[in-house]
Amino acid sequence: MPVKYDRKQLADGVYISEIRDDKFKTNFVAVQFVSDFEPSQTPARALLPNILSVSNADYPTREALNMKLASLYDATFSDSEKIVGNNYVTTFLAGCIADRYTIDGEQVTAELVKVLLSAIFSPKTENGAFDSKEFALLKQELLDEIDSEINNKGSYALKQATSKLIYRGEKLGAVIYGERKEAENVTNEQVYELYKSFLADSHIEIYVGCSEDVSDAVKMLEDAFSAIPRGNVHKPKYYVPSQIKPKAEKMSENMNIKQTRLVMAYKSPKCDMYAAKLLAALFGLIPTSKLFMNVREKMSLCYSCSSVFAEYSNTLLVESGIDDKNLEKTTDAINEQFSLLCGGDITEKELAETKLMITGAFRSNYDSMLSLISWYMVQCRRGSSYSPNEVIDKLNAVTREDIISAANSFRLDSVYALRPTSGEEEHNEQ
Amino acid sequence: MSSEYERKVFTDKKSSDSYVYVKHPSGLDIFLWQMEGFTTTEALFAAKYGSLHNSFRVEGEENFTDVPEGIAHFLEHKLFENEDCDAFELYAKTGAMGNAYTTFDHTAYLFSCTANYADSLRVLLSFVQKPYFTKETIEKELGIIGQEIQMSRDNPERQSFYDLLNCLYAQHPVRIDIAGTVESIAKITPELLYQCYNTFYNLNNMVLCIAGNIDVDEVLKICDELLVPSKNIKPEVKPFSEPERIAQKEITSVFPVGQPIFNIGYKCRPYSGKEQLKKSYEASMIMELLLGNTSKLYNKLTEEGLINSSFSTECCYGAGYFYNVFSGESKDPHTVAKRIQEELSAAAKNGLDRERFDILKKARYGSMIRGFDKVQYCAELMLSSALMGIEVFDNIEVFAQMTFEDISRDITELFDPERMAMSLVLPTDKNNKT
Repeated sequence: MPVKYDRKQLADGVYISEIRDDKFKTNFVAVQFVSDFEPSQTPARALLPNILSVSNADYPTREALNMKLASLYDATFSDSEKIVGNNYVTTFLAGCIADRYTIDGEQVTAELVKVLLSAIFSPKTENGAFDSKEFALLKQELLDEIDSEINNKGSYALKQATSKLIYRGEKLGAVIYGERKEAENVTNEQVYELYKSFLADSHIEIYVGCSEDVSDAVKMLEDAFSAIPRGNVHKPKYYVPSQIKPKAEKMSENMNIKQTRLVMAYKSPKCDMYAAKLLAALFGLIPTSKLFMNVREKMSLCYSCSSVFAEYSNTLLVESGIDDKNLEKTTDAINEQFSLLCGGDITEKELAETKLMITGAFRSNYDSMLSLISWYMVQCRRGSSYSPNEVIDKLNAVTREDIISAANSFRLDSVYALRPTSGEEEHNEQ
Repeated sequence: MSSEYERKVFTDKKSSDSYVYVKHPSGLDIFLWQMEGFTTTEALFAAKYGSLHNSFRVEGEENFTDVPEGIAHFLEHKLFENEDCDAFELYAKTGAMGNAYTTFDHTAYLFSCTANYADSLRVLLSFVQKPYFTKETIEKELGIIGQEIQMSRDNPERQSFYDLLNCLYAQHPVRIDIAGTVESIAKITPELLYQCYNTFYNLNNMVLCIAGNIDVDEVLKICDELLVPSKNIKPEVKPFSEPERIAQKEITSVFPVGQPIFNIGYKCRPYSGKEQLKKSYEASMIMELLLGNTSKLYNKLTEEGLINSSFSTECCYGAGYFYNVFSGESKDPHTVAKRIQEELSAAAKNGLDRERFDILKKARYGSMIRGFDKVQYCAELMLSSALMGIEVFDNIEVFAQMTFEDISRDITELFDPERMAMSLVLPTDKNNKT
């Protein structure tokens, strides 16, 4: 049975989308708040959904809320945060098994939506702020989270590279949880003030992904979100090409590690999105790509060397883990492989095989309700409502020349390396 | 003809999910789970050969052969490369995403695709049956795996995981890193790789599991075409001799991390088959009741700032080993360990909460149903069940039969304070951090 997708407006800047596919055994609801933000605000913006999702007036302790979720057949409820374009995007996600799979015919989906609405609309408050004990606890957890960012060397290197070099001075370079000093200074009152504007001013997208009739749950969502008093509603701008540096810049930092983590960025002022996606795949996204076949397989320089196209910033990011003595050799090899693509070193066979693999991955979105929700979130940002199959047709229409043209619109912008302490001293160079 | 094979069909009554088992004449065990309406196909072709099998012999041999640490993982990398090309290039023609992994007790080769699954299956069955190892190709792989090992040496969670295993186990090879070391893999030769391959990669010692968008008859026809019957060599792995007691109480490592990372483990006697499954569910339920996010202690420790959202519990088991672990980050891991032990001792003495047991049992049923929504999960569940020697829906049955009395009785057996150990990763001195 084909997937059904429908989106409608509930209020100024509030939309609800329903995605239905009866082959699944689960139902999900995602509520996304898209807000304007200042980079210095990110710790407060990160704390806000955390405090809303751990307890509320109806479930006043974490234990009570978690027990409620367990009683709904291990229903899930979580929050996530990310920066997309010039927006801070906060998502609440709730999921449970479909009602028809419950043992005693319980209406778990509607019950879970009540929990979700309690979290968003009925926070536990005192004296014009959130519960002070919970706030202090979550603030400490946020500080722990910030401190622990160095645990994963790959993601830490990427964070350092994007914030300090690749997107330096841009909103895109803002750190999702903020810097420690900023987080230390956040107050309960600031976060509560933010909450008020969060409801009134955010652009809101609600997604219901279901495998059965969940009209009761949808009605509850529609009633609750139609009634939100709207303020100065944010108009999201997602596509913000990153500024291209006049000359490629290099930066390195040191840490007590064994392996050097390399991050490179190529940027384009304007390019065709579908051609750029195939370019990234040919360059380093799939196992037959230039980087995998040459930098890894032929030159044995690394275990992983991959590229991805960040469509909202027109940036092609490359990440690898290498022996420090091969830093220059690897950087040169990556640049050489990119030059080959710019020069048209793409056979029709390579292109056909890459399309086959990428379109296959796109088609797999049909087999996960969460993937379908993410799919239509992206479609909303693009201002379209294409199905995976419709985008597959667009990808198949991209020509070799389109990709070469896209490749030539990119140029090397940044090279960042997180190196073992015994390597070179910390320095910036232009 | 494939249609003549005896097919056993197993069905779960509540979800109506079902899969087919076929014992192929080549010796291979085949498990097929057709999923109506799905476009994805996930296939796993696995050998019962992992990093634990470091010392072995076959029928007729007197002595055990010892092989270098990390060789099963190395073999996995090298099997992707045939004489003419590598498997990735073959998958590129069919559009499948191919991969492989090595664990303690098996090595699996897999693909995922949404079109041309029959052609991808031909690729999978062909290359895994055609080894090609030379000095030159081994030399090339040393650099790649060397970087994989270096990457893992920068991973504090992985270090803490293996440190705990070295605390709990004195001799069992589960304490050895699956990838080996840069030094151990340097000893690998083509002859050793062929010896390991010929011993463990015979179809009688392998399993094929496919879930999703498939036609059972078509899969069996392809198996008929491509599976080469192999001699039923019965590899004998040197018995794991492991004392009951733990090897040492604590290991500490130092890394650039935000705050201390801990793994608190309880060593148990090893189990097998359905008993292993039953004990693992019991251990998981006890940990969920006492330290899950619905428990009093979890929430108390969170409120006191002693644990955070990184805290988790897990029951780990396999051939000759079984242990339970509590892990996470804490400014004071020793206090966390003490409080966990106090809670376990109190529960052993005073009993558990029956009402919460009933709710958590329902919750576990929900998470199993959720799993059946995913093609990859279904393929992996067939494989893990086959390796354990149980049927897939035994998972539901064994869990459903678990009683409150069972778990109350087993707390001491599964969480013996005398067999508790802890690994710690402490932050590098701030002055040396960067």
